[in-house]
Amino acid sequence: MIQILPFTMGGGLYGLSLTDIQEVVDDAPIHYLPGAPVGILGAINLHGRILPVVDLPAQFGHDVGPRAERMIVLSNAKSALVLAVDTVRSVLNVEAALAEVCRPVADQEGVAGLLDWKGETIRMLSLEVLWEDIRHLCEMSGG
Amino acid sequence: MRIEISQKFIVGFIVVVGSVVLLNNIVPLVGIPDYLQQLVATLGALLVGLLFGWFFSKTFTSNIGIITTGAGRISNGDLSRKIRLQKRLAIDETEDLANSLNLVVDSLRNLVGQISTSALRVNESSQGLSSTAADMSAISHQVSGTIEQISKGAETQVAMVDKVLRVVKEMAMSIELVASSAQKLTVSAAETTDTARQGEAMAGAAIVNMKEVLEQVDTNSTQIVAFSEHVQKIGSIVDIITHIAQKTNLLALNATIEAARAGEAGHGFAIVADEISKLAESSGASASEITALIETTKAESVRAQQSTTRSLQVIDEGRESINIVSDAFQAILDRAENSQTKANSIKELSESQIGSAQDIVEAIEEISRVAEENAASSEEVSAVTEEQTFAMEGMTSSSLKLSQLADELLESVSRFQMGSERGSDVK
Repeated sequence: MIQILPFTMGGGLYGLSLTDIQEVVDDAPIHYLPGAPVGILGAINLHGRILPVVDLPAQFGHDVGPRAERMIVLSNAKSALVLAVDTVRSVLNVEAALAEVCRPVADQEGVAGLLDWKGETIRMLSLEVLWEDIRHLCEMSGG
Repeated sequence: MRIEISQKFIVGFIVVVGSVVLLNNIVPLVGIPDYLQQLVATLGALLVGLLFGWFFSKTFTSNIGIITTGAGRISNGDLSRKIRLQKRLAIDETEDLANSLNLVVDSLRNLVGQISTSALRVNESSQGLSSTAADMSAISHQVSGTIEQISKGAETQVAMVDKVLRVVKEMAMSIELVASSAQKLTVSAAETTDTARQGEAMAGAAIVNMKEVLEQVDTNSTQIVAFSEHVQKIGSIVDIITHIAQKTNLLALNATIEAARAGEAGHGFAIVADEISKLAESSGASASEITALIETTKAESVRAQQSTTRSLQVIDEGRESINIVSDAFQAILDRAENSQTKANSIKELSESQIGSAQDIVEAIEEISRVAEENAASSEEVSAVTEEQTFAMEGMTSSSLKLSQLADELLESVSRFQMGSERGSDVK
């Protein structure tokens, strides 16, 4: 059994495994970074670490707009990343078998697969895919 | 020497008879043939008879002719001369007759003179009488006309007085109606006064009640404001609770994440975090409900405050209205009392008017009677005056006739020629 945290951003429903999340914060002030790319909102100071805040929909060229001040801090061995999201829902306990049968999707914008859950489709994000896509984008934009 | 005519006749007859006898005796003595004697005697007797007859008759007829002439003069009205007989030796009855006729002439002269004088006077008097009667007739005509006018005037007066009487009777009835109306008005005014007093008292009570209500509403308004402030405070507290719940929820989420990262060791911790998350969600839901209730309460209290404000305005208006009503009742009271006083005085006046009107009716009825009597009397006077006018006209015509009669008398008398001599001697 795995635990999934569903959340919304840019009108879409996304999901992340709890094992990929370090922390959820909601009141950290975002510091504006001059010269940052469009998808980077700024940086926050989390327990003494300076972490970049990414606006994924803006990053992938959709729906450039204000995000709620709720942020999900991703856990990564190399470098921590913060996603600015709209809302965070309650944690879902999903059977591992069900999670594994989630439909694979073409390698696209960090989404590893689609999970059907109670009439809704959750786009499951994969940190590896997401990280590769973001790095790819950054290289393309020269950042 | 006075010899009666009868004696003269006797003497004549005796002379004639004697001459006849004498002749009869004388003739045979004269020598006249027998056959002639008778004839001569007869002739002689006739001759003697003729002579005496002529003598006597001449004597008689001369005086009688004079007397006849004188009587004729008298009968023709000539009283200027007296009858004068020829002087004779033997005075007989003709002399007496002539004297008597002369006395008659004297008497006639006196009588005619007196008649003439009297007739002149009568004429003058009757003319004066006639003109006076004419004047009186004219005057009496005027009087008659005047009295007819008076009579008509009196009739008109009677009619007018009748009208006046009707009018005054109607007036008396009207006055009685006025009196009864004033009576009713007095009662109505008294009722109005009572009602207005009750109304005023009620308006006063209403004002007192209104003040109490106003105080109550003021208190309510203050309480609502205080309540509203309390609700605001509760709202802020609930906001804090909501915030705490959100924070708790986030903490529980992070705890769940930490538990998941801890793997199997964090399993129990994950259950606790889940429970905490549920509690936090429940707290948040309750806080939301409280917030919703507070919003409702706020809206209600705003409405209540608006209602109170409206109520205060309405009560103020009501107080003003009741003050106006109270003033109106006071005014009604004053006017009703005034009306009552006036109606009372009207009643008293009209009651005294009823008596006066009755007196007037009686007086006018008396006037009407008098006027009718006047009309009747003036008609009688008119009739009498007309009779008088007729009498005057009759008198005028009578005096005219009298004047004519006097004229005729004068004319008749003027036939007599009076001459200058009067009562002269009789020869």
